Amino acid sequence: MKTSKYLIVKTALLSSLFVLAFMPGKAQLIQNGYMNVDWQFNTPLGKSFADKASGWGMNFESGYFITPAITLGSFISYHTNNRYIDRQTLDLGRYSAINTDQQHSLFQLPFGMSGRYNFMKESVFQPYVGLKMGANFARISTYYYVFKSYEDTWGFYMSPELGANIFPSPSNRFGFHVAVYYSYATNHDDLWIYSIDNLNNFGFRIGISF
Amino acid sequence: MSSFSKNPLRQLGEGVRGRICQKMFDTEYVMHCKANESIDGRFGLGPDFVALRLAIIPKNLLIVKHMKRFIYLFIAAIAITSCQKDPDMDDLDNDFLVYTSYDAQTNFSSFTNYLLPDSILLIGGGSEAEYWKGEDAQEIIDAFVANMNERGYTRVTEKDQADLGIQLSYVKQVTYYVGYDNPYWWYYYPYYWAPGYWGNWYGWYYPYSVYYGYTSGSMLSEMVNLNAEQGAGRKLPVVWSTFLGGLLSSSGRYNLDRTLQAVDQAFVQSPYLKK
Repeated sequence: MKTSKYLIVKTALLSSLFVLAFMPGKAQLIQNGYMNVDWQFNTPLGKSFADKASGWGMNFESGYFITPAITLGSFISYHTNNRYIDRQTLDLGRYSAINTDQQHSLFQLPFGMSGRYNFMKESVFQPYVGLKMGANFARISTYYYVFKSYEDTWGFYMSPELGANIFPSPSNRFGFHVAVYYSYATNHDDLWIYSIDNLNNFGFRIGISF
Repeated sequence: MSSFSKNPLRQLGEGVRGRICQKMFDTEYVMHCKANESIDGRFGLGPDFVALRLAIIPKNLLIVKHMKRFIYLFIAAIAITSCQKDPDMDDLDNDFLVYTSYDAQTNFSSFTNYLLPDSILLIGGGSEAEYWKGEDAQEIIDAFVANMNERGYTRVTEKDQADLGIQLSYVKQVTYYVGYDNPYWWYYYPYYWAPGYWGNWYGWYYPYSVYYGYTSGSMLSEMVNLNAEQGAGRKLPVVWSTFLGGLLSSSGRYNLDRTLQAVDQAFVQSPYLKK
């Protein structure tokens, strides 16, 4: 809980940084464009290397209205999920064995292109359906004693999303952003006796939109 | 100031700054307005602009300016947020890490006797060899002896009677790293266990990968095959090794108890050690 509060504060500070960086200026940074900066809560689905839901992540996205309803843009986000593994003896191969407890950590950093279909663009509440596609960098790590072992892997990433931009004053397009998402990535790797084979996640985002 | 193919300001006529800026986005040029500067009067503007300095900037230059701002923000964002969140290490149980390796080609049931010196080498204690011989050291040695005897081996006191040698070391205060490239760090530290202590060997031989860190408070044990061929150019095989690592508490008794448990665990996860 403490860590989530810390990230929320960090998100707020970062959002403020963005806002301040563009002042004085137009509330709409890019003509016919948008930008979202979000705090993110993510839950890995299925049998995961690190399955504990957490709020250790953020999402950055910007795009351009190619029609009044359709946007195309880019995104980058990241998230960390952890999991405690009880003490056990593991056969590491290479004629070695280890007895320890562990903290598993799954760090994901997807980035790529995003597209949205927006509804009610002139209203305060502007919902949309979106799809993100791109690459997903993932690092699986195990922390034990004072050591850390990890492997890096890349995969294809796809994420459908439902969300809304909320602009108290639609004319200047500065407001809030909420979204729920599911993501799938094709990452595969092994670490010790553990392996990941496709990553599935569900989560939500809360942030600012301008 | 650039020369213009058309004068957008004249087209716009009089108005407030905001209106002009908005209009300018739709023209070939954009305008950057700053207060409290005198006006360039070439355009014959009205009194609303007296306190403004007008600079006409080609639109592509302004885009570059915005791009730079985006780049700075992107770098700032990455710098602030790029770190992976490490898990809370306080959640770990703080018992000892027990790591064991062995030579799969060695038939451990072929050995009968072993020699285990009555002291533990202290690594990092000083420039000269320092051995730990107190009661605590003896308890640790006894734990190894008890486990070896339970596996059917017999402790002897003469090297020439021993098939196996066991050397124990305790990392007192320094940190070494042993890797694929340099597993023989003790070459560079005087008076440590040396192959010559056991017989006519020149160097060590590890039949398996050795790539773990040695940290303060670590207990190391190595089992060497004293039946290996000796002579010039021959290396002494290390057929079994353990690394027992734990965060030390202020209680010596507690640390010792955890060390003894770790010694037992090292044998539990080494079922191949059997006469």
